[in-house]
Amino acid sequence: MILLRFIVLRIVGGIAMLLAVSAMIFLMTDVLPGDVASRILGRNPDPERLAILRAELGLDQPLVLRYVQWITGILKGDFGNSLISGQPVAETLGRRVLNSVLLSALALAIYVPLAVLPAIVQAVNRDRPLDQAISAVSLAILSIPDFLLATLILIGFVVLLPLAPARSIIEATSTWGQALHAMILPAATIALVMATYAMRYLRDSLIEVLQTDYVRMARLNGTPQRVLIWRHAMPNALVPFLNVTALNLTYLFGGVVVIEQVFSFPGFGALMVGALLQLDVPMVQATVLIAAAVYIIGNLAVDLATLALNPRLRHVG
Amino acid sequence: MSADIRLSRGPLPLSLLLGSFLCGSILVVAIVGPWLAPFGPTQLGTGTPLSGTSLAHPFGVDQLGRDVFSRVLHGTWLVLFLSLSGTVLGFLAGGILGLVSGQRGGWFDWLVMRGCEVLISIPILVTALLVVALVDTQTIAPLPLIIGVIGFVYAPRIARMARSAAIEVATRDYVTAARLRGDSGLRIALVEILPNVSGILLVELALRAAYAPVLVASLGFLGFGLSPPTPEWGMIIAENRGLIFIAPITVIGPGLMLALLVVGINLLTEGLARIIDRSVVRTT
Amino acid sequence: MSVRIEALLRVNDLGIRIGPDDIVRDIALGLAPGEVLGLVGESGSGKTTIALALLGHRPEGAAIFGSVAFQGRDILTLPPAALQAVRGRRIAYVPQNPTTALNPARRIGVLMAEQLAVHGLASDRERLTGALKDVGLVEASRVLASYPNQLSGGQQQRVVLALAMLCAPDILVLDEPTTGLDVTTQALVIAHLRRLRDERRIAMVYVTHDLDLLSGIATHMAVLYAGRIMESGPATEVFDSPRHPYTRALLAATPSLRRPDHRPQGLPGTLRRDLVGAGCPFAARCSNALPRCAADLPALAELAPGHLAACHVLPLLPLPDTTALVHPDRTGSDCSPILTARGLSVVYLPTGMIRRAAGVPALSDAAFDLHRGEILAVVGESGSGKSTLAKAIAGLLPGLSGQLSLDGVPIAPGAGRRTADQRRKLQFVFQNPDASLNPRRRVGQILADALRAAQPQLSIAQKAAAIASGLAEVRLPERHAARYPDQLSGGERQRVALARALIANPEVLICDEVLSALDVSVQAGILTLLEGLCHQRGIAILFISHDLSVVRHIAHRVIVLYRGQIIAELAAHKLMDPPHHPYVFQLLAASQGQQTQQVAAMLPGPGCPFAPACPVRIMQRCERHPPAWSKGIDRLRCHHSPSDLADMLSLRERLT
Repeated sequence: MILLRFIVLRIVGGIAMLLAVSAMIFLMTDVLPGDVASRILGRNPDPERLAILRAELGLDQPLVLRYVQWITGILKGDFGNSLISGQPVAETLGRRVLNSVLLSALALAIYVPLAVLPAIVQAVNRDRPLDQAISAVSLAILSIPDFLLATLILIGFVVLLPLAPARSIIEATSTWGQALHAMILPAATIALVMATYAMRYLRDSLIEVLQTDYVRMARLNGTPQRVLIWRHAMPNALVPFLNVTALNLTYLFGGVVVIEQVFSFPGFGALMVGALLQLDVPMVQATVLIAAAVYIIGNLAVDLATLALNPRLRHVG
Repeated sequence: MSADIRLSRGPLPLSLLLGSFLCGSILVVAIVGPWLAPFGPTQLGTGTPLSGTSLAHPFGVDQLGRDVFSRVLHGTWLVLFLSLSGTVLGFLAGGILGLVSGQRGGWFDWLVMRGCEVLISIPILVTALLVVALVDTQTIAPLPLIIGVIGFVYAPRIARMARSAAIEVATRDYVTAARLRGDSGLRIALVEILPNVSGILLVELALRAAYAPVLVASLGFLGFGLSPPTPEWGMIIAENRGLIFIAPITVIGPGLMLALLVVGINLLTEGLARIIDRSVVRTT
Repeated sequence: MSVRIEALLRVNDLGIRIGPDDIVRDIALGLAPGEVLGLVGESGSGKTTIALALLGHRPEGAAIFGSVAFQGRDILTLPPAALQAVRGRRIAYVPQNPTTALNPARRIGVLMAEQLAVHGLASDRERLTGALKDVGLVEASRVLASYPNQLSGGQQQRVVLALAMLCAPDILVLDEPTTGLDVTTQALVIAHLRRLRDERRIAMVYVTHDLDLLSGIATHMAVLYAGRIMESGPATEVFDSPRHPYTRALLAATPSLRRPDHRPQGLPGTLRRDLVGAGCPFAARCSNALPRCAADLPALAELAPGHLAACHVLPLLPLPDTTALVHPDRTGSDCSPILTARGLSVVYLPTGMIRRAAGVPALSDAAFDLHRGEILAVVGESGSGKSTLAKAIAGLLPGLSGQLSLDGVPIAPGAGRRTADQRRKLQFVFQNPDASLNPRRRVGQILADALRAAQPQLSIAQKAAAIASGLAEVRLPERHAARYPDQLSGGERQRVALARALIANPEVLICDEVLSALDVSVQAGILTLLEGLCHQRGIAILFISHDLSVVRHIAHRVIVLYRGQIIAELAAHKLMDPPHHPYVFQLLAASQGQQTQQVAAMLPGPGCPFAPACPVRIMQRCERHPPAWSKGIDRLRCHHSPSDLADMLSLRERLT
């Protein structure tokens, strides 16, 4: 029961954090130098038009009131209307979020084996040529900025070896096969970026676990190597790996912006960048909030998964 | 017991040498590049537009007739300056905040940490884009803005790290001994705690410094912050993106420079970490 | 050493080398069923390396020579599959640290079942519970379902022993299996091992640094120094007539309640493996060394049947004198107390998000007087509150209730609120020398820091002089001032910690288990140092320890703690004399290797704290009512009268 209480408290904490973040986002879009309205209208705006725009945007009402209106709207599913298109934000948002979720799922599916298998090979062959070679390659890929990597992959697999479409568009009418075909390149790129980053941590963590007393003990008890790795070492080594993956999750719904641009993928990130460039305030608020929400929820999930994998923590009082 | 570790360092690791070489070279390029560059950064008509690599134009010529190689040379100092200043700013702000917070504890620590968590919830790139988009470039010039943004983005993350390092060291016996004899909080922080967390902090600094150029370039690539025709590497890549099937070198060239810089910093980090590791306390 | 032809295990010319350095060399051992071979050595002797080699394990990057023959087959050359079949099944390893040896993410039952499955044996529940019951873990079902961190240190150690015994091996290799355990638990484990030895004829290799412990179980012994065997033979012979100078020095340095009048004597210097030359490795520290010893490596020679030693000087040495060395009686000082404590109580409140109802009292109503020039020992096992007491007096627990006075003046519970002068007078020496010195400061700087706080008015020249004399006082060469802590040995670091406390010119020194992290040969040196300080400088010392044998020699008076309460207070030299408090009796018996009778467990109540575990408890009375103090300077708290206790509890003669 203590465990349940802990979980509940953690979830409540997550919600509180989300609220705090939403407040901060709202504040930021309001308080930073340069009024949004005057930015939209450019330099030396006509004061009358400014006042009208302000009233239209609701900028003349007190801050707290506007914030509360916004939050209550969200809880009802209403994110406001786009300043540019006039359409409800929720509609566009929904489609794009779905696209990005699909992309992320595919990317994660590629990422896990891509990170885990080489890490195991490295840990077992520690400091030998194979380990160093994998490290070198991984470091090289890691150092290439993601937009460049995306660009190179684009050239490579569209021009040199035409395997995938130049623009990764998926529409509501696409079949699963078409969607997969369209998403494979950006998903692979994302997976590659995440995997090279996480591989280092997993390798180090595995090496550390393989050197612990309890693994040595199992070895001295006659346990074969394969069992040692998969049943003794991996579960304990996974915990830091999960943490790193959680860190990467923020990348999936935020930093992956650039990759979406390169592949022209109609995802969440592109929506956010577009909104920022055009200062479509309600869209900006909605997208940034969702990016933060993914981070918070993702971390919560990782914390709970850690508890499941590491029973020792369950009984800390 | 091991022999005197401090005197006999042993050979410097390969990563350190290679990393220093790369970073050093790029630093040199930053300083003398503008003089050595064959053309100006905005100079038009330097050669056949959209041409590929050649001796006169190693990185080709873009669609406006500008020599891409010269533009890259001219932009080197910009990337270095923005990345380093931003990282140092974030490091100073976050480091001090984290160390103090970790040492003081109590409500102050709680408040600072919750604040950091809120800021960290929004991904780095998103925060950067948000701030840059919303700040009026009339009020704040683009260069200080980018430096400020990098600092703002890094500070909470570094603060969190510095705080946990400070807490871990603060429980050690020699810190307790210092407290028992009445040493002031400042003295303990500087003499007992700081030298023992410096290793971790240095590694973190290098890690962030390695990402900073990518952050700057990403901003430029997406069109935020600086305005054309500034020869910022990210912007150059973005501008030449349309030529990618005709003259790919105009994109790969600046990209390669960026990659080399990041590799250099990463190697430097690794080398430094190895050296620090060697001078760490060894117990029997 | 067994001369039997069908030895179970025979090690020949075993050598392990990493790069150019030998870790161990020329190791020859033999083991027959029912024999327990004690492998004795201090840190750096290579004993753990040898133990692991018996299972075919070698350190990373090491080359291994010689042979380890188990029932005729050489383990070192077995193919991996055959080696896996031997490990855990025929030869089992019992590790030193049970906490780290058990996978924290798996339940005990799962671990045990897997151990059986790996060797193709059936893993039914009876077998598992039977194995646990065998080692004295009565609540077998609960243990099987638990994770390692839910068990105490003693229980973990027994689980690990059960794991080792699970496949009914022929040989057990035990690597310091009782280090870190309480004396009473230690006695339990040793008793169980004796049963295994006698009833099941299991052969054991018992690796330890504690000679005293071995006298309770070993049939044979091999003494190691710097990776070579110095002396080996039947245990009784090596104990009663040690021939090699190192063995004799080791025995001389080991305090023991079996030889209560023997004063431990330290060994000068430390083992420097990098300085060991071509000759005898012990030559540098040997008081009998000849020039020949440093140049010529002595070979193992047979002195008596089965008794071998490697030494050039041997034939010239007379047989050791085994009469007891008597030391002067120690009576306390008559001066007024420099430190008084009354009603000290500490309650630890649980922290974190999950709060339990009540706090745990770590210390209840402790009171004592410490006089000038006196050494007062505070003795207890883990959980007794002795560390809490030390921290409380040092000023690390601001939540302390009760009264503390220094030199007649009350002092605040928290060090932050005491005056600088009070802080200077009361100095603290930590247990672990590796953690108590700032690794980034040189020794001289560490001492200067302490000096600055204690005597800020000194000039630079005076400070330098003080640092120099401070180092001399703890017998460290002046050149050590320029060194960093990681360039010193454990014993040297502890001396620096001591010097740091002394340089402030204190009147009271609190020593919190300052010997626990040190080798036996080094401990005696520190003890002598502390005694000297007490006599010459008149410093009062509060000596926290769990080791009764050490305490008997160094202290004037002893107070014994159990579960946060003081239950006895007496003169140190009267420790072995009746009447004994039942708990003290248990400690004494355990220290002599005797296991006292087990008592049915009971929940602690408001009465005597020892009631749940007391073999002579009076039902109802002891549980409900706290006992009163007996009369006299040497007193105890028990519902039984001292004369009754003297009748009921008497220390039996030492069992062989």
